[in-house]
Amino acid sequence: MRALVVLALLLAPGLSWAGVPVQAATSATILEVETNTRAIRIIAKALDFMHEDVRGCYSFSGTSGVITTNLAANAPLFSARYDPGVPSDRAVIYYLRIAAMPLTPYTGLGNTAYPSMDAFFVRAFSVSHGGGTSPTLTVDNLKNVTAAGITGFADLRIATTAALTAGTGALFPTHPFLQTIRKGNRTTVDGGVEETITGATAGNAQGIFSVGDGEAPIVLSKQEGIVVRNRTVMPAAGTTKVDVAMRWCEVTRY
Amino acid sequence: MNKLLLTVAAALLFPAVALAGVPIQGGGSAVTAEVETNSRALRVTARPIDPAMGGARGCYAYSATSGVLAAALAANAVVFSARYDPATTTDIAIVTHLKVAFLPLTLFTAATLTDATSFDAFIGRSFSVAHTGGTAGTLTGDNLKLRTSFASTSFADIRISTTAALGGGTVTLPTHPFAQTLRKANRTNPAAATEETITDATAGNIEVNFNVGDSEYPIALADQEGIVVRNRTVWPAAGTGQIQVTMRWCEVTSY
Repeated sequence: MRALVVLALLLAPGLSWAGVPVQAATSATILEVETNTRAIRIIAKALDFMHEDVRGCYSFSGTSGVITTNLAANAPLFSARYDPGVPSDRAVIYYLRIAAMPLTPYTGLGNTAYPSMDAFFVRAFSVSHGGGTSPTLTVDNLKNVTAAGITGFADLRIATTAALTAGTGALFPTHPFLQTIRKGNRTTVDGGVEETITGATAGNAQGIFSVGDGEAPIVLSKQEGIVVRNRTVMPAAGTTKVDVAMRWCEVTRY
Repeated sequence: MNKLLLTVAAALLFPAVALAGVPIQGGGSAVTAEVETNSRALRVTARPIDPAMGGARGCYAYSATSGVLAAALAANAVVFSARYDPATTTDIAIVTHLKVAFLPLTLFTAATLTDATSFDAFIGRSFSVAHTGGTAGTLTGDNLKLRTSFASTSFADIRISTTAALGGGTVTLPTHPFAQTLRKANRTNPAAATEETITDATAGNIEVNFNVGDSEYPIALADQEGIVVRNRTVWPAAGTGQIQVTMRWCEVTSY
């Protein structure tokens, strides 16, 4: 039998020991191999939301209101609770950006890392955070492609002028996975004028989980989520605005 | 074998089909891979390391901020240390991202104008004793995991300074760091005694992303290797500040 196969291969035109060409799915195009490097050509594609594994891919960007003075340490400013209808679904977080922009100068004597923030991967959510502003999660909101399904996040929200109220059951790990570090603008001691300070890009943080570069993204299961907190109590008088952007895909397996 | 025979028979009967090439079929479906018409490039979608393949223990992220580091921090003072010590000594930690930032706080009053508050990041080898002091990370349970189902990290120790340099630590550092920051601290302005204009914590920080997709090689730590961050130049008098370190990595059985 094996001899017959070998004979057939020898007789078949186009098939030889030189190699097997790879053909496209919907045309007669043959995959190219570079002459010098002998590398195959590739082109990166996003997760295919038409594939059975992918519900859709989404983007959120929200800016808080002017957060009032004396914001407490560990005050939650952004919360995202994943609660898909199919419990085995997963949310794959590719990107998170957190930034703060100080506004009214701080008159308190504190000279520390405010307004800096911490981003946590939380587990065992049972009740969402409250307060703040919650985007509309239904219909086409947040979708990157209109044909995608509606997000499985049950709640996303960002602070308006005060901290979010506590969510129930959210277990915080000891360490954040991402942090910002910056200080606010103070009134200078001798001149009473505003200290020179850089803007919201100073000390912000971007978690870009580059899967194409070998990194692993954050993978959320049902009742897990992302919470961003203020790190250090803000001194008197100063105010700030917070900006959060997040991008993710929701899948049935990953 | 029957399928192969049919393929061969088809090739014999329909030479044009055989000449066109072989499609790549999906593992979980009959879908075949697409090739772009003009560039003749194969479409690919990137996926992270797959723990189900047995090659990966898991992937992790750590981010921590020091306390307020006191004035006159010494040159070469260690402010961050991570020691990899897997139970399976052939395991490897693939470090894909490291960020080191510094936030100046109290002004430096001495007249020195140097690169004080700059830092150097090294690959440490032959760790035999972990550093001490500072704040040690909690490495057990779900801490640091990017996915709850991952195993706990095999780093034996990750720590960052509180108000002074870390102590101890028996480790061999190479001559050259693999990444450095470059910045100067904010000084008291001699003329008006007001704060000098200074850029914030993003100024001159380290943000290393090893772009494997662009053919870069990430840091691959073996057993008893690690990452050490040191202050480069002695700080002048009075000034203080905080350091922040963020690191992401995967732990694998082979790479």
